[in-house]
Amino acid sequence: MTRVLLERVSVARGDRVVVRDVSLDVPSGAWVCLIGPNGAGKTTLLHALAALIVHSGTIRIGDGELSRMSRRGRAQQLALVQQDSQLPTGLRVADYVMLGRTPYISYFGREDRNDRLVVAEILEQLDLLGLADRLLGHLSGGERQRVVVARALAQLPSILLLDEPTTALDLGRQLQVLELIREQQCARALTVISATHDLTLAAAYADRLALISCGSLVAEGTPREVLTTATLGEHYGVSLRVIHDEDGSVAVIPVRPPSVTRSPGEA
Amino acid sequence: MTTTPLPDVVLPAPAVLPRARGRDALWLGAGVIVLALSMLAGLFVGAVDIPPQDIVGDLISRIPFVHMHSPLSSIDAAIVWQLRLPRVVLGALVGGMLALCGAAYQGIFRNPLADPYLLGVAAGAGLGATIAIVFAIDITVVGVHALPMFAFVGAIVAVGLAYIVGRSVGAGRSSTTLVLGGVAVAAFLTAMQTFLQQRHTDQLALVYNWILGTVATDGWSEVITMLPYALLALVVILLHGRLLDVMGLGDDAARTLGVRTAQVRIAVIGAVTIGTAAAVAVTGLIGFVGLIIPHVVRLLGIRTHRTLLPLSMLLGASFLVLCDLVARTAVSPSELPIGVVTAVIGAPAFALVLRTSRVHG
Repeated sequence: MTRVLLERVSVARGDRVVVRDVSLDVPSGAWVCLIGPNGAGKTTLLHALAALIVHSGTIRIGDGELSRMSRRGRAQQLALVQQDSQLPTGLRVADYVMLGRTPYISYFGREDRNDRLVVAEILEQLDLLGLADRLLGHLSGGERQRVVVARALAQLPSILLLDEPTTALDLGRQLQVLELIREQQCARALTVISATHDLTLAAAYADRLALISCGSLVAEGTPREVLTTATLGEHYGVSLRVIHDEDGSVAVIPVRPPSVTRSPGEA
Repeated sequence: MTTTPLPDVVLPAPAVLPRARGRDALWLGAGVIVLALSMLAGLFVGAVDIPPQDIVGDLISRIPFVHMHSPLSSIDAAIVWQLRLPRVVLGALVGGMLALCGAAYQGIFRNPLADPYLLGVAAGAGLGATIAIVFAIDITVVGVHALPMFAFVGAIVAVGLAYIVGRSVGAGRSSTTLVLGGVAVAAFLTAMQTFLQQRHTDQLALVYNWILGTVATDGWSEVITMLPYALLALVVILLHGRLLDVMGLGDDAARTLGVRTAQVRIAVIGAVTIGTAAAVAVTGLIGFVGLIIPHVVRLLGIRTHRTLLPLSMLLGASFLVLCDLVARTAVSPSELPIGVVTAVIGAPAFALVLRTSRVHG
């Protein structure tokens, strides 16, 4: 259980400030989803959390400060599932997941019995034992994403960072992957910070949403609070309808702009 | 801090992982046997017909406290122990080093087309050797002649330049800029080499012979010259086996796993450079081994660098020993350039392996 606290975090890529003064409190064990238009700075913020890019301001991980933690210590606390994970297609699933144990193995060391146990346990929980000997290049999209999540979980992190974990998957696979993450979040008491384009799925799974636009945090709260026609319209620059169901689910429906040219079918 | 996960979970038997491991160990054992057989073949076969049983008899007679008269004449014994054996050992050393370095580069650059000469080793060594030849430099430092010394230094300088150029461009940390730096440096050095050759056409044949490569030797001096560098490269590269797998995930992912990617890359590039430079310095430019052997090993189903690296080394060593066997016997008493043999035998053999592996999926 680890709380993540961002205080006035800014990130620059070259001369350009990509994330500006973001302050955000992610309670321990919560799932917060970063949403926002393309290029808003969601991925950059996740990369700052994963210490892949330098930031100004402070990021607190539990009692410690991110920039003061050792590389190894960070890797034992935070795991990142990247948007386009490069998969070494020639590697077997079990060997790939084993690479997640790297933060616990010394520079020239090799994995021990405990590492093998952790990996076997994760493979079983994620229903991957049957695929353990399969090559990564021979997996379907859904299987691949499950394997990537398995590798992240093998780090035994307390915080899981997910960058567009379900892009390129069909609706069924999207739900499977998100359900899996939800299960693991509960079982392992993970704090989850994800980024996604899909507002409806974000609303379905995240406890809270943080809307980022042009590098700044512009709205933060429960899905019901953040996903409003006015807020989304302003920051996405399009017309939308937001439907809040009684059971708490939210649907965001784009509205076509009035157009001069109409498709032949509508003529 | 992180503690053990899910204390209440019953741990299942981790039967998945050791199985692949055992298969890899079998392959390594097979690799050792193949190398031993190749080296024996190299020792037994040559331009001069010496019966293998006599060679074995001579070997036995040399064991302390065994009183047996050697069946070999002193000339034959000299051929076997002073010509064939050092040549076989040198071939194994160079072949093993090139294949090991090729496998390491393909891993660290995540590029299946990488070979040990990727960052300009060949161009640098070529220029160094050309300088030593055309200016007839005749100095010897601790028993090492000018030609291998200049080739070695040229190779190291070339990679150093490639590294500096690569680092100075853009982000500098990515491996792509490094490879491009290598391309630029290699082009520049090759141009200088061509210029020198063109101005000294009388020595063209000597330079050309060096470029073609040979493991011919009349004693142990080349082996002794190369051995310390080869051992250093070997140890450093093999120790990085697991980390090369991690680097295969991409730099960002490797860094989120706590790996200092720049440090790993420098260590591996440094080791490959030293090992390759030493090999090239004593034998000239032998192509194909460093590029192809690691692919053959992958086609055998070897996936992790921990096995890929040593098995590439064993098979690369065997391959070059056998190629040299062909090079010195096919048109005996003259010899074929070994670089020609590696490509002429290697390319069709590789195509065949590629084809069969496709058939079997």
